[in-house]
Amino acid sequence: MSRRVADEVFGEWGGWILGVLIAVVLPLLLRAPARVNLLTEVMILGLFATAYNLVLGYGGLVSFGHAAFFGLGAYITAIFLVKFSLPLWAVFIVAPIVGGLVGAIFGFFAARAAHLFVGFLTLAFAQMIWAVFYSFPLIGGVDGIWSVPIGEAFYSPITFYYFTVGIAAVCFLLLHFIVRSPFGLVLQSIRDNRMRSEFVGLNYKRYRIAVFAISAFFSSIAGVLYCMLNRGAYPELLYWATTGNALLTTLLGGMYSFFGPLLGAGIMVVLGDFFIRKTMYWPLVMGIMVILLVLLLPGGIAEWVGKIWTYWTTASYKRLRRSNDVA
Amino acid sequence: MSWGVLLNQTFAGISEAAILFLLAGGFTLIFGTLHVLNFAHGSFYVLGSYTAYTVVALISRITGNFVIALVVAPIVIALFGALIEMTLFRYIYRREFLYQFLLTFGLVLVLGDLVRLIWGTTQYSMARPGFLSGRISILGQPVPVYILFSIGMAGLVGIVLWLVLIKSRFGKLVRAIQQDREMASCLAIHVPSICTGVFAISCWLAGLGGAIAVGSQTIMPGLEVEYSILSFIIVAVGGMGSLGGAAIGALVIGLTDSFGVLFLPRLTLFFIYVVLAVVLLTRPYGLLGRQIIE
Amino acid sequence: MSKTKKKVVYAFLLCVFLVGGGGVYAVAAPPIKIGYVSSFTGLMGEDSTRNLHCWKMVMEEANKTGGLAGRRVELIVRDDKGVPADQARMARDLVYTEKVDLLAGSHSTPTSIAVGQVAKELKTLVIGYGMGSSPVIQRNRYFFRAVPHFTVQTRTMASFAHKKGWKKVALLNPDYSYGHMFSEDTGRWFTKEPGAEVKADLHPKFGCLDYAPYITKLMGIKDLDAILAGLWSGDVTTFLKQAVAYGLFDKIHLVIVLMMPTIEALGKEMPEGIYGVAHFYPWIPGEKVKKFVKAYYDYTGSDPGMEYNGYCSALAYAAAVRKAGTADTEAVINALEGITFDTPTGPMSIRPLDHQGTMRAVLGRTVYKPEYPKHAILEDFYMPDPAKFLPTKEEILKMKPF
Repeated sequence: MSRRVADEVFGEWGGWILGVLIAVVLPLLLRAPARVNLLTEVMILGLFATAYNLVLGYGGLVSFGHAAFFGLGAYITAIFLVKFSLPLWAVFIVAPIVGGLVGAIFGFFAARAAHLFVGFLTLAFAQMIWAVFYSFPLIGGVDGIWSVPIGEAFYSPITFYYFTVGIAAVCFLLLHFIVRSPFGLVLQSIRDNRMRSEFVGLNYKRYRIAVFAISAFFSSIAGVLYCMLNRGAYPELLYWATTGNALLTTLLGGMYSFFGPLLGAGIMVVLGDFFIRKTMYWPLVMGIMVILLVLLLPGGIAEWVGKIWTYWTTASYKRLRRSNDVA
Repeated sequence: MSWGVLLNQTFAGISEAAILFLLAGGFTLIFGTLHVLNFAHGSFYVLGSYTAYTVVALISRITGNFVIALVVAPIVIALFGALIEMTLFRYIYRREFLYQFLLTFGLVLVLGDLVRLIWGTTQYSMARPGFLSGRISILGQPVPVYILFSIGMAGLVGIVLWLVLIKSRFGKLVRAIQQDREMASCLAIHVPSICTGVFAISCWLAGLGGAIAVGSQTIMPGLEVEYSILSFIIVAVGGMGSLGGAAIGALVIGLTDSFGVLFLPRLTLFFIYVVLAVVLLTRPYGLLGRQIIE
Repeated sequence: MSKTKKKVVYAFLLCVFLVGGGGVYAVAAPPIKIGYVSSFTGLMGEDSTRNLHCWKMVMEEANKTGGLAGRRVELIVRDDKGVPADQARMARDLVYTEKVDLLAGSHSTPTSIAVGQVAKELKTLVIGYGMGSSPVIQRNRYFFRAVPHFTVQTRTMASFAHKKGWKKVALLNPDYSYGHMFSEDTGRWFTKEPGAEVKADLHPKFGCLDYAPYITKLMGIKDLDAILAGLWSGDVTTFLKQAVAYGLFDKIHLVIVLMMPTIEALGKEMPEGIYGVAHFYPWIPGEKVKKFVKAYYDYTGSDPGMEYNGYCSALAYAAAVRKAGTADTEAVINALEGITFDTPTGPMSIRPLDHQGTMRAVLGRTVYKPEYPKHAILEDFYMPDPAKFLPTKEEILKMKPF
């Protein structure tokens, strides 16, 4: 049992170690320490998008309500730290659990819904939550809650970056484990052919609830980190555009691969920052890019990269064989 | 709470519903016929507002400039919409919902910046013509003429549209495509051009809604997202693909907004989404909707 | 080329490089860099652009006479699209990468707070802008603002109501922190007068597009003398358009925060006889004012209004650097606290108590004049001395920071 677990988690251990090394070393390669926050944002958005992809890519459901989990994570952080002066570790325990519970509720209602309606329902529920936080000044209102005291230690961008990498790495490991586990495989089978999985005796409704809960759990963690990054939580984090952003990130990077969303996050944040600094009309540029992406590159960058990788390795293999034959 | 205030609230709510009907009517047409959720719909509405303002400002010396603007602006938006349909939307009809959403999302960004490029971030206000500026007394309450005008216009347009859809040959073709697109194309109906036509009409409606609305509102950038989601809520509540549904949904939202402000202002927004959730759970296709999607 | 010749050429190039580079470095002192981060997207975009113009005007004027403390001034501009995270990130970026000496811009409450936090952490001077940032300042050594707390506006409005002998008023403010603080202060100051009553305290949501419920409610209040409103930006335009249609101002007076974009947008739709309040209008009397208005008009093609705040912020900074003789942050902060400098509307100071300016509020009545064919202007200005309207130390301590 333990050996299997080890296989599943560390199966590509080479890749993981490399990834962690890159994450650790990256900030030192930057020209300016301020840019570290950019990398932190990449990690947070990458975590959020990967959690989102659990539902989208592996679950096969289009959710429009994930902003609720992300935003709730942020708001719980803000409320706990500002209004109740609770310690940070309490936030990291409560926020994901609350997020997971809310996710389960979303999942429960989405479970029976037909394809498109999963999106509509999750949108409606998430907007309900948004409306509450937007309308009541007691929990922030239009402005949100600011000046969140996250502790002197985290004011340094580098410290906070490594903290985020640590938390994100653990989350990625867990998510990867889940995806490779029997649960993840069942999930994909339900995604591929729901009727058949029912014939085999699987209760797809339970799986949908579970996948929403798990995805929400990790989305909330991303929300907590984001609140810490900005020292504040505000209603826009709960608005459906935030889910749209996660969706776009996932599709950009590729929803059929585990690390696709993280790749997408890297591209989104870095490109976004680049364009904002270069032109005042950056939404125009982003919009055009999105449109081009849809028209030309439906599988996302990951699929494109995957295709090139396959081609290159296959070609090399063929060359190798040919040279062996000749010799 | 005097009944005078209640009466005025009803008028205000119905006039808001009138504009929302024009907005949502277009949205539901696209959804019913082309099976696309056009998240960029609000952008056409906003473009309609700005275009109407520009027309009024350009020909400000001419009397009747407002009427001319109301005629010209929606047509401009309709033509622009037709262009967008022919160049972009054509490619996503068969694609999954995800990509449709993404494309329209990208379009929202582009059109939003287009507005900023052309008109900048300045606030504008479109002046109402003299004959629509006053108020009349209904049962002792002052009611602005413009409110009655909005209601009248929306009602008129709604009736004409309904007649076109039910009685005219074009309407028959549209309904045929709504029911079964493949079959319609087999029957030598030129589906693509009718689709363009429907999209153009939808944008015309959105543009008209925007043009009328700004007679009593500031013209500012950044409202397209709000209007897009509003049109979605109305259509989801009232009935997808149904014009009558758009009217009902618009009335529900308009009156809720209007009376909500009187009684429970902070809960109004929340309540609207609760209504949406309840409708989605109990009558998923909306109050008057038919089953269009699989 | 032979080996020795090569060596000579290289040596020569090296010398040129050293001398030239060193010379360039020695001769020109590095410019003073001002990082201007604000949102040029969305609703605040226009204000940000106009304020930027004012900063440019002041700094270009300074550069013409050798700059500040002997150094040229450079403005670096960034758009944060109103997202506080981006505002903070760009602010940090500007401090670390460009090594700016001052952060200017910032606008809405959340973005002001975001940049205030950066200021504290990185010990960089920020001269902010925008109403909502007041509470941040009291706890932040590095944050300054040329504009005073909104109490100057609210209390000017209330004292004007006293002057007119109005007894029953209604308050109309947006439903968020700024709106609530505004109405609370206006109400409190107004009710100091015996017999003065606040009959209604309404809070439409920010960005409200349908004021009908509020308008009819206001019209239903018996013997209402006036409405004191702190609505903001586009809301004012929408409210006025709809209120005029209902005839709200036939019997009820209105005092409202009125800015140039609204005046210009409404054009001939603006009702005459309502009262507008702001910190600056281009028609207030004074020779220096006329000069400034003309200079601004020549520079941008429109009349200045709220961006006067930005102009005074820039003047404050310029005066402080000149007084300190250096752009070093701590020295400039010490110079700023308690400084008095000259502006087109007279001398102005920065209070050490809350790092805010002592600008007065200006209240005028709308009227149409033939010299201004496009829109209404204000006249009959009421410009009380702001000294008693500025918040006291006790009041500041009672305010909650965001």
